Amino acid sequence: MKTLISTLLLSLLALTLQTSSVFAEPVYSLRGTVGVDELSEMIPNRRSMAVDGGIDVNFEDQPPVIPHNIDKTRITLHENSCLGCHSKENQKITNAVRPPKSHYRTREGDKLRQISTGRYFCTQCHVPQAYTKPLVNNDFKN
Amino acid sequence: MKLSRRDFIKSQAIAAAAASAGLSLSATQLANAKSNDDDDEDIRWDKIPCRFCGTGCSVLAGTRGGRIVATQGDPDSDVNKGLNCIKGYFLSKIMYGEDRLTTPLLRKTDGKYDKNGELEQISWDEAFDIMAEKWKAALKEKGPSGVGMFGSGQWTIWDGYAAAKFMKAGLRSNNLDPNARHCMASAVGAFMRGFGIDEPMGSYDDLEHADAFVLWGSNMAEMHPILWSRLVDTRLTREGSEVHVLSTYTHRSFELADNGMIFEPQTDLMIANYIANYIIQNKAYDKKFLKDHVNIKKTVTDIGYGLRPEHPLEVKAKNSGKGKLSNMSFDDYAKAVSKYTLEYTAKHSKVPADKLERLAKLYADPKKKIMSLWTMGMNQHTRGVWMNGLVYNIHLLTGKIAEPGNSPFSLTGQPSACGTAREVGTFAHRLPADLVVKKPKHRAVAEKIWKLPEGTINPKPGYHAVLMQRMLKDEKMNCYWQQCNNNMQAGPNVNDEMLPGWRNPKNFITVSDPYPTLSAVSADLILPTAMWAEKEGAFGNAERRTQFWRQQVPAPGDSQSDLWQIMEFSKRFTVEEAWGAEQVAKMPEYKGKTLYQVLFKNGQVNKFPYKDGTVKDSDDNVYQNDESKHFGFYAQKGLFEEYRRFQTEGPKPGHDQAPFDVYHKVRGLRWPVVDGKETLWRYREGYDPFVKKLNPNVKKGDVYFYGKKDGKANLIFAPYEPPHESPNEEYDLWLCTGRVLEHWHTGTMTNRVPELHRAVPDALVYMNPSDARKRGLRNGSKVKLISPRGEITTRVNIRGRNKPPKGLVFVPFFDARRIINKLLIDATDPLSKETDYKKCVVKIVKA
Repeated sequence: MKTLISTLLLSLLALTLQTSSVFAEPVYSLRGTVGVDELSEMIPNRRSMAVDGGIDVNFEDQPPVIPHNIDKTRITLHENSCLGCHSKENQKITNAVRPPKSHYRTREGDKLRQISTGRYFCTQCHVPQAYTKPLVNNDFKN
Repeated sequence: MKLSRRDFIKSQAIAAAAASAGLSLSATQLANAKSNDDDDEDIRWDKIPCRFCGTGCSVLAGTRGGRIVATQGDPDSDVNKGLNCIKGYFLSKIMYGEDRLTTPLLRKTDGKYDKNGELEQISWDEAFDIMAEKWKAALKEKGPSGVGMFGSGQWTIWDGYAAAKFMKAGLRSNNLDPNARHCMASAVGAFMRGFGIDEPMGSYDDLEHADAFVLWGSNMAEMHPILWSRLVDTRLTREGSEVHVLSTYTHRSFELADNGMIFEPQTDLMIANYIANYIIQNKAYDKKFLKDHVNIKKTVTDIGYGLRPEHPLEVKAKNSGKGKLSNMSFDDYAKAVSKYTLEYTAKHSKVPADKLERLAKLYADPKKKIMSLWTMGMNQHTRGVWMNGLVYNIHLLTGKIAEPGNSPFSLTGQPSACGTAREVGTFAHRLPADLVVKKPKHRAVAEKIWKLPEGTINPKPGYHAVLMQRMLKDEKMNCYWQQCNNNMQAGPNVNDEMLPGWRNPKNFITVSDPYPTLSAVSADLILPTAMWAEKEGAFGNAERRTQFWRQQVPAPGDSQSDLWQIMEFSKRFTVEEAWGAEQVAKMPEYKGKTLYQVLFKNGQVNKFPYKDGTVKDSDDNVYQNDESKHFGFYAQKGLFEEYRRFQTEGPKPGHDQAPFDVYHKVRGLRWPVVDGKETLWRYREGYDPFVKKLNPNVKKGDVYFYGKKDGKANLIFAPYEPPHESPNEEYDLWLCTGRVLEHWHTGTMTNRVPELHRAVPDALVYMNPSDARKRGLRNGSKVKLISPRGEITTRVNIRGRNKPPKGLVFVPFFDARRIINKLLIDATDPLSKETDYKKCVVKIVKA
């Protein structure tokens, strides 16, 4: 397989050199130089990011990403272990990030004492991050 | 927007001033007031529907200097009330992947088109030259069936309408199908068979009105997160509320389930029939409702699996592809379902009897209002039309339908699968507003509205999604244009039924896309495409809500919208080339004209003049409209207003939408819209204005299913039939595929948002720990997944969000580096032609 890929790469390089037109540019999909009909390389082992103090947001209304592993977190009908640290009551002790006021309102905007049941499943908006490079750079600017 | 304390006080002051003056300000006005006051923060805020799923959330897009700089949930939207899911919050980044395509690219060697050449930048002129040359050659050799277009449920309404008009009226070819065929066709089939009109009778408001929710093959927690949050809200606040979840594996929606049920693939057909049987045995059916509003029918059986006709399973099937209905008495129906006893169903489905009975009791309880919800688990099913129908049967038996909280609700996958693919009629057999090509009356309506000579529209349905790929491979179709989707990654059986057709030297493949997808790099010609906020658009969501947006920013480089591309390409054909002299002779005034002149400069589409600076919001902010500027008329408005005529002049009532300008002012309206009012529940007097209009005798609160001639819905019996393939000695596992919350479809947009990529970087294989152990595998082990059709490598996940039972594995399809669809079989529902993405056989070995 590897020799096939390198042969392909070489021939690709040769072709590019041959055509040397100013308009020619290599166009790669997210598979890079691996063809649609080939097998991609194996995934490296991934690890969740662990960042003290959290990860900066890109813009005001972005839900913060989770700066720690959540493999052991459980959210079910009967428990929400995120709130074990992050609820208004518990965060004073744990020093975890406290949910903003928006989370203490009903769908219609009425104030609530407890976190809104419509926001019960935290992972709909907040997700952990793996240590990995972007597949493609993104030039969004806020 | 940076909401500093000063801004907050300011916005509160503005809101308070407005309130004391008796005004209510919209969220955009408030946001604009906040930022306009601040010199260095001149961000313009405007509403725009989310680019991703069928929920149709509204977001506010903040623009500065021709770029989107922020997005936030739209508090004024009834759908999402300011909330978004993780994907929605990152919409601001989807247009800014560094590898945006900015010029047309053609495969060339030595300056000439060569299928085996390298991609080189060319001009739009050269792109359309070569494309027109190839298309004209194919038309000449094969006729209209020699060319085809594959579109999308992510097309805007006018993209789809223009494509339908170009292909069906322009080229007289019905070879136009959307990727919605892969996701919604079974739902459409069942709506048409059961009710005669497409799309749900209820609305999202049912989520706040229902007592109980039953998920049939839908993982709403990940795929429709905002609707899920509304459902969760009801479950956790309403007394007695309960949630039942049916699936072939445990997923995130089970976290809320009071009654979670894992069934053996395909046995959902038994479970639905068992519930009907339970309701009948316990006399819990609504006799009067059945008598007044329902016809009982049965469907032809042994209908095959939508495979190639020479496939042994099709040869063996007695009624391959047939869907004929015949009448059935209630007693015969009761007898037919009596086979599906609790014991029988529990044994075959492997769902414990007490769980099944709990579900049946729920449906049978006259005091419980029930919302049934489903998506791909039921649609991507070789008996998808049947299965959709079996759930309607339960609601019809009990009369729990078309009223607040009683609602069988087919959720859509894509943002405009309803608004564009279904309503505009971009399917190979359809025309706008539920009309079909095979009915002479329907064709006549289209020919009249489109000002075409009689007989222009081809009466023969075209090639559907899967058939198009087969026809490319078989050289029956030589030109193919794909817009707004990534079928090379999303279509089934990539190795055997997709790649060969694309690589065939006789075929010319064009792909329009903003990014170099697997489809784009597999094409001969790539057209760089303006996306989402780079064009004026309209989507229609799953609750019949039509939502518009204005063009927020310019597109990069030479990118142009799908609409621009279709209209511009139509200039390349004369009517003589497209229709033949005989057809042109019927309307000599068209002689020598181009398709562009006949289809788009027809006095209707070009009726509304356009001048730069005339598209404004209520705060007088000015927006561009690149297509209208180019063509010299307000193209989107002309197309929409012409399309609206199908809703009122066609033989199918009840599709009315509001005039174009209205939609730019509101957060969408649910059709039918009559006298400016939207419709939340159809077919019931008091909610739906068409009921009284079409049957003056209907009493208040009663139903009238006006999609059918006699005003009655069809309850359609269908039995269990086995799946197309089942695990065997060699391929000993079921493979189920699908999405994940963090990515949209093939990840063209979301894989380019670093936060979303880091959230879920790879498509892993989710499997049962005991299946893993049996193969000497652990969490994280490297494996190869192999089916008779293809293979991928990945790693094992036994602790993640999806927990399959023994014998089944799940792999998502967003990851371009692991094309899981290579493993799939191209079996479809024989009626809807929708692929079964949920069931095929695989084996797993150490890699």
